[in-house]
Amino acid sequence: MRLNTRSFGELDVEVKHQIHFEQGLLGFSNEKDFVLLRNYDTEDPVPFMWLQSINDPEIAFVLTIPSLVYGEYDFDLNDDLVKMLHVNNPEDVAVFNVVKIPDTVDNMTVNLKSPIIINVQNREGCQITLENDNYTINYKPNNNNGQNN
Amino acid sequence: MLILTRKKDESILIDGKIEIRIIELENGKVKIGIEAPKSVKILRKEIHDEIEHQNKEAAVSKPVTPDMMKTLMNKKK
Repeated sequence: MRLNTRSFGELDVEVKHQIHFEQGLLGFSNEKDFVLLRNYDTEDPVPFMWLQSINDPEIAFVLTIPSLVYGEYDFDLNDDLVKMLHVNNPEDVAVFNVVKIPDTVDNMTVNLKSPIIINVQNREGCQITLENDNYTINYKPNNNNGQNN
Repeated sequence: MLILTRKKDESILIDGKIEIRIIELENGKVKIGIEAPKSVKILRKEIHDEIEHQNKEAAVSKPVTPDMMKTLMNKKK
């Protein structure tokens, strides 16, 4: 499939990278189909991915993996979500966080409060909101003093 | 929108399974207790709004150029 993107121009996207979000993303309830792109051109695995809307080239998110920016990040997947995403095996669940880059990469913040959960088997996804108050919506991974809000 | 008046210790029942009880009234603040099945998501509305806002900013925050993406993707923690 040929896909138009905001930052990478036109790309060839394989079906295996397409993710369906039945409920859309928070604030984007109409955007239900995305592709998850990674840079495979570097030697080391890269900690960032690109979640691009299929319908709207202007809508895209940078995602990261919580273990890389935060360390221990725990929550329970509730049964409804397990059912909704048709999860059969806990190993099929991938967790990502939305990254916001206001001006420079150094000032980026990570939304720990609302992770994106993807069943990698059937490529169904959902953005959930955690009740744990320790997880903020704008965690600063580059801020080392631990004071984040 | 349905508007109901309740006193302290009174409650309302939604759909037979969600109970919202007025626990305390003080200085313009209301403390409420909610009993609901685990599957019911309960969020302070402003947090929900904040998350939507954050997502919108993340989606439109400065277009990430291929160069910037490269920096981002090559950046090691």
